[in-house]
Amino acid sequence: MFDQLANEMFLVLPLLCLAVGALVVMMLDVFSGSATLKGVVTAVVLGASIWMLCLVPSYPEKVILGGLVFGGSYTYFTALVLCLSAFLTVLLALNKQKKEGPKREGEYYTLLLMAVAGGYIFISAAELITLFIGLEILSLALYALCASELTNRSSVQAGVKYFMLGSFASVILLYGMALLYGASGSTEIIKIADVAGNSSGIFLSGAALLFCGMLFKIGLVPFHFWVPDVYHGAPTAVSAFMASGVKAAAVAVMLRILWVLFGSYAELWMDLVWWVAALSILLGNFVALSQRGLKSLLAYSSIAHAGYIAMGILARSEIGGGGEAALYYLLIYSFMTLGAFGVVLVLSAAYADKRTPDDITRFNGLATTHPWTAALMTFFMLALAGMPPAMGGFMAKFFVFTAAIKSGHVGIVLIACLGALVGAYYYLRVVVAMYFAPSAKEPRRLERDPSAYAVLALCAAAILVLGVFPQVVYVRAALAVSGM
Amino acid sequence: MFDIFAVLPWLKSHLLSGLIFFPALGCVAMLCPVFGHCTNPCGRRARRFSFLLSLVPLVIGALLFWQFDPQIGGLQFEERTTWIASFGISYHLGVDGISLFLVLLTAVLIPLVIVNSAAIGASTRGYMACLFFLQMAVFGTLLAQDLLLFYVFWELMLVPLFLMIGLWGGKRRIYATVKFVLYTLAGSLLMQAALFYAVWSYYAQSGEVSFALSDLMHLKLTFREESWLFLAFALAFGIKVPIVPLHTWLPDAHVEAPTGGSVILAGVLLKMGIYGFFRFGFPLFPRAALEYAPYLAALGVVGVVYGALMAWAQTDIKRLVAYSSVSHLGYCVLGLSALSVMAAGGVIFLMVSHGLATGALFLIVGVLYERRHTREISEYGGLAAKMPVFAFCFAVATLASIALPLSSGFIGEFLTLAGSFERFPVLTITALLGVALGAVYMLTLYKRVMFGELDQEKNGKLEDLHLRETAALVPLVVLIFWLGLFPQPLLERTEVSLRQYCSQIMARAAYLSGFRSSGHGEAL
Repeated sequence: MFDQLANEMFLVLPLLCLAVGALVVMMLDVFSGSATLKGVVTAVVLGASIWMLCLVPSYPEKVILGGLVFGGSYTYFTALVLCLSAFLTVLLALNKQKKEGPKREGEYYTLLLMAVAGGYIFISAAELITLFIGLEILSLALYALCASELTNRSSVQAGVKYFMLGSFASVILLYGMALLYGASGSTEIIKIADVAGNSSGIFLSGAALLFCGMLFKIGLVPFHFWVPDVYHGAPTAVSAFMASGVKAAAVAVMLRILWVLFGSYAELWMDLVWWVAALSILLGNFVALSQRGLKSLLAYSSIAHAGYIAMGILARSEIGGGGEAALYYLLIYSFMTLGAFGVVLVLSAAYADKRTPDDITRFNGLATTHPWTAALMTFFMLALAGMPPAMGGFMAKFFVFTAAIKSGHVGIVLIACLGALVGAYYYLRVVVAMYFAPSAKEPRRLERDPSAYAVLALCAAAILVLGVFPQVVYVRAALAVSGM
Repeated sequence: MFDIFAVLPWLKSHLLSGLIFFPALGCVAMLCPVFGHCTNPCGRRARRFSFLLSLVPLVIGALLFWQFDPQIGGLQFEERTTWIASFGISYHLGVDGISLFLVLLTAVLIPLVIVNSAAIGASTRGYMACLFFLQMAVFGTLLAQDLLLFYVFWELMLVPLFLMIGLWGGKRRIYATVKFVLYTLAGSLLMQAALFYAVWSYYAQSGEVSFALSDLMHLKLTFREESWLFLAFALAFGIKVPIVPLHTWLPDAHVEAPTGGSVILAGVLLKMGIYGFFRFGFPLFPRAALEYAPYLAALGVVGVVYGALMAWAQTDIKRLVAYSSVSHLGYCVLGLSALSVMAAGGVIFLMVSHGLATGALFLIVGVLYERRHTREISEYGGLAAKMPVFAFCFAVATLASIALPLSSGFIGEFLTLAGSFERFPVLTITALLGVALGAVYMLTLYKRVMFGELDQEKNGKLEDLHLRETAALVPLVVLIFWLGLFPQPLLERTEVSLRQYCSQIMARAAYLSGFRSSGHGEAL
């Protein structure tokens, strides 16, 4: 008994590491004023959990800790994406946190670790109450993180807006869970799934509410309205984390809910997901065309990318290999979007006193003043557009598109191709501004920010290497999904 | 004969990778700050280094030409390594009679462009990096025998040219380059979807996933599916060629591109479309290809006549040459659709010849533009007296472009038209109109630029070709004559491959028709 418990505790060690880490950073805040120290400790905590997640051998998902959470390759793979994006986020904004007053970096790092821990619980939850608790820990930390730039009105506005809408979504989700419990008599995912065939009105409406709540958390059409506002207003590093890690966590849970919990209702949700994916791709890409601010542009592009990822959900793994495609996409997309937000962060720091620090004209002539920064941004834009030589982005689309076609969804692939074409236009607009437009009259001073540049270089290298050798990730993702 | 591969057996199996590797190396080297700051205006060191490096693919190309066995119709110098095992994707390169001469053409044109790029001004290093990148992508596209590998290289061609036109182009360069990329991408994305569909249909039939061209050639589809897939591929290749209603990006891109960009664009990139039809469009979907060949040929002839008429109406020299490319590639489309060995051989000859002649013409336009900064025909006149060497080179390129006997253009056009006559008599005769029009607009151009009164004062001070410009043009002139006088080395190397290509398509189309009509009673 005790042996088993110890064994199972060992499996949630990364989570414990995150939770303890959050407390350590909070205590550290009392004793030390050094922002860099706190940032480094946070990075070390995240690094340690990444290391642990990498070490776990692959095995199928099983329920542990008395039915509370799942442990297995799928959980670890998606948690790895979450922790990795948090790790990169910390390094990205290390310099920014150091120089910014009022001194709130202790709260910032604590909240970030809390969010990751919550996200971890959210991903691994094996029953609905745990799922909800994980989601709330994640969300509450995020609301506060969004509003963490207290001197910046749009940051506070983003926090409040996200809080209002997010609580609504949480309530809807909770209501759905209550109905599901009422219909099936259990909160455990596997047990509810076993009562399949029970398609009473209560069960179906519960499922629908749960589905809507999840769409909100991922930021898919028609529950996407908060995404541009929040990504635009929140501190850039937080937006980057939300677009990469939080989205990865939400998609991972969505995949588990649809495939495991509602696996036997596939014909019911298949059409819905089809429409959601198609509309997200179209709306995200077309609205992004008219954006001037880079953060709003990336926000709409993230809606579109969520649509591409949802195409993977359509293609059940036994038929199309959509799960592994979606996981590969999530990992690569985290690198792409972190990289793109990272460049925005580095660049807009130079215009911090202006009203629109992330306007596209700020990029004008970047290639002549800062060729390497411009080259990195070009690489990320090409990756987001899915064009070689940014092979990761290309391969991600390749896997998702082939999965969709293999499972017979040709129509949505054509829509996605249209979306990719439109996407190429607005991503290229950024490249056009950097390379072809003359630079602004006043000189541009970018700060020396070694940790941020290290993150950018790492993201670019990861996109390139994992794109040229996709097998490394893809095989692991396939293993993870097959054990779901 | 001295056999180098007996001494170095390793070389034979890695020759084609060398073609991809050295330009890639050049691209990376040019991005290193060793060669001066990236905005360094003169960049002599960078130019010299890249010229020397660009000779390596030329040497490899010469080796290929010399060691190519004309008796083998299939792939030679093959290389194969697994790339993505779970999708049956491999790094598979090979060259045959169809691609060999396009490879050689690319290997010849790049050093000449580099020699002639002294006037590029700011950021020589970046320009060279783009050129090398482009060369690598073109070699990869020509050599890839795996469809995903091909597609990756096909898309790789976009980025360097996008930057080349956008950074070193003319006034409306941003419009031109974005239009170019979006046009090409639209076609490519549809082709991508069609490609995936083909791969999964093959999987449904055979139970294995493969992107290898040799496997997908055994694909059996219904005629309806085949038509859709062929149309998607044809759209991608047709935009690249460009076939007439899809050509509007070309004049813009050409006019705005720097000289080197235009040379590569006209000389090599447009042929990628024709090559795509040869290698993928026709062999993968033979029934649909045969069915739609007459329409394709008709569009080709429309392109011949329309391109010629448009060229005639231009006042800008570069735009004129650009439209003449539309016209010449129309012959290629016609010959391609005829599916006879003679016409196909003519098409390959014509592509090489057009690459040389049009490459030379764009260099010539560049020479004029660098001296006078205008491309208006009316600004020139009577230059022949001032610039004799230039006049000679221009004359040779003009003659090759209008396909005069003894020049390479004649053999290409003659074979193409003669080979197409049997299948499309009316269309071929209509295309002859284009030959006549070609003579009209090119000779008019030559007359108005080179002969007549030297009435513009500024033209009186024009200097003849510099050493560098001569060095870039003379090899092209020599090759134009050499191919015109001795076409045999080229024709004999393409013949067996093309014979096999044509018979294979016919046989497969017949087999597929039989298979479907007997098996499922489906009407064609």
